Amino acid sequence: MLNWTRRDFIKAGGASLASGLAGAPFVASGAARKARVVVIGGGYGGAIAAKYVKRLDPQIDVTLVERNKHYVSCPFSNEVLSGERDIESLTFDYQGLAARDIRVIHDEATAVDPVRKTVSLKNGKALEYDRLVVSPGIQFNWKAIEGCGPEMEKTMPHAWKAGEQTLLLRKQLEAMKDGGTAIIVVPPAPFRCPPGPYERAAQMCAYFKHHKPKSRVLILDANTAMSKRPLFEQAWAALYPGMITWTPASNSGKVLRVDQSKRTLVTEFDSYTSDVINFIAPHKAGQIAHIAGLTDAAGWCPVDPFTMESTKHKAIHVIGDASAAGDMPKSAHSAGSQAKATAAAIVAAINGQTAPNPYYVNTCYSLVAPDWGFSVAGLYKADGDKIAAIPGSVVISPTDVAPFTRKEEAAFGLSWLANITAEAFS
Amino acid sequence: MRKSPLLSIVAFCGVVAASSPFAAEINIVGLANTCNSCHGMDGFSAGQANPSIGGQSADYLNKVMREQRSGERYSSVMGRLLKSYTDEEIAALADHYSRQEWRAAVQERQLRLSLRGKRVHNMVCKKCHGAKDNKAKDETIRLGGQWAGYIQAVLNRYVDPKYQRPSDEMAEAVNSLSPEDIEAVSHFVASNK
Repeated sequence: MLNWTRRDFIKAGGASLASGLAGAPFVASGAARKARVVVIGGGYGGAIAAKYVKRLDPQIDVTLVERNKHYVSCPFSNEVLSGERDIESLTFDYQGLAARDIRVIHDEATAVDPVRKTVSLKNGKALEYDRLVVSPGIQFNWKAIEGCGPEMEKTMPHAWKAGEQTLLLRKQLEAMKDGGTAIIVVPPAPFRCPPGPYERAAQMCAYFKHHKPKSRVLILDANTAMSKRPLFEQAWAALYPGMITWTPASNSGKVLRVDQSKRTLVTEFDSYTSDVINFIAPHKAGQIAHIAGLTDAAGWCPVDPFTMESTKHKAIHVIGDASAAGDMPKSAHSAGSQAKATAAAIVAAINGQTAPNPYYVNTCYSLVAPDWGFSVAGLYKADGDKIAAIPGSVVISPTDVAPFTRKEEAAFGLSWLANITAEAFS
Repeated sequence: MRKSPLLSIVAFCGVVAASSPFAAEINIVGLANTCNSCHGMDGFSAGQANPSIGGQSADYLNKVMREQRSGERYSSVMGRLLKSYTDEEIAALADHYSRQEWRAAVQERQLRLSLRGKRVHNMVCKKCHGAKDNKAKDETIRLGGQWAGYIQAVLNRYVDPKYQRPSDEMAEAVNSLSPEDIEAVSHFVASNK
């Protein structure tokens, strides 16, 4: 066949390469399931990992363990604070994954035995795995700041896991007197959603502007750098002039001590109080990662940058916010990207093949008003023992653009939400 | 841009692309999977601002991505991401997505808007895009079944000289349209399955 058309050539090439092409669906080798993959955590990372393992090799038995029946998206939850959207629009269930032959167990993983390769559940049962994906997200390191504890969630909500917390913070904003100052306490890096606190300040002001125009937002920041800073500062000045004060660590913005009974936040030189304190405590990897012995001294999970496999225990992959993923920010998009690389690596390993090249991408939109959005995008690759940003690839939106572009980016942000939630939950 | 078929075959066969900052060898499934979070599973977008790319022609996708990378065509995020992609990676992606099934976005059809759009289409668009716009061909976008919101945003960019517009013909054609015409014709062509 010398006169092949291009399409024929590709088809034939595709077919002959299929078995060797990493990431392509594998042909069924028999009726029995060939291996068991268990995923702990049904956020963006875990849901996407489960879905892609199944998609790449339907013969693998996939089980997703997730405490809650519903998942509430953190991305775009700041719009619940402004009143722009309701929490239902960000709430997803696991029926879509269940319909894809993924076993969804609503329970809590209480222990992992990396030698016997089992996951214990709260209900007393245990799951055996050949490969385990741990995607538990973050928990708060309350001990990192004097006077803090989990009981603060009720009085100074973090709203850093979306759902009830988001609604509580919204309620506090509604109850606040006009002329008040809501305080956002930003934890030290690395924390989930680096631009989140600054987007949140804007979304709070969007609410104030219409309902409590004399009110203000104060950001007490444990960092001296701000994600997407030129874009936030431009937007704050244009949309909410004089309403937002950012106090970085270099200006005594780092909270060192909390007096819960007096609702006082103490920094190096100052102390603050307010009826609305959005206290985002320092982070560490989710609890099961610690129980399973996957964490390092900093509280995060070191991984092989090519496969996201834990460097502490074989056959366990840690993805998303809990992982120490080098230069990648802790975002939903990062988690999804890591999940896909992990799924490909797991499927390759189960089928006795080498893991294909991972591709790591992050895209993150911030909306400071319904028609004002901007983004950061970046590419990352496995480079030696870490995931490194590809030089020059991590770039934020330009500041010198027409309002039309901001509106367009807001629309892109909404479409991103529609697509990544479809990718994860449908 | 006629080079793309050859390039895509080379890329598909996994030949080493030494200049890529991303990876030594193209793993097209992994590379293409990175697009899904914004452009939908297999390039079928679930959000109306982001275009469906699965089932567009390889030549069209290749051309658009190269133009976005060079800045010849305005983009908000794509140009930034594509800066680190090689010609081979772009060609491989274009080829991959051209082989996905085209699925028309489900959009509500409004009769009055559609009628106005049809008139505009007949006068301005049909000459180059054809009567139906619903096939993947050459370097031309497949419009029928694309998201109206996306088409409208692209047309709006052609009106504003601040945006880098890759086609003078398009700019000239679109310049004669009012914002209402643009909305109407976007609506019409999107539902033109």
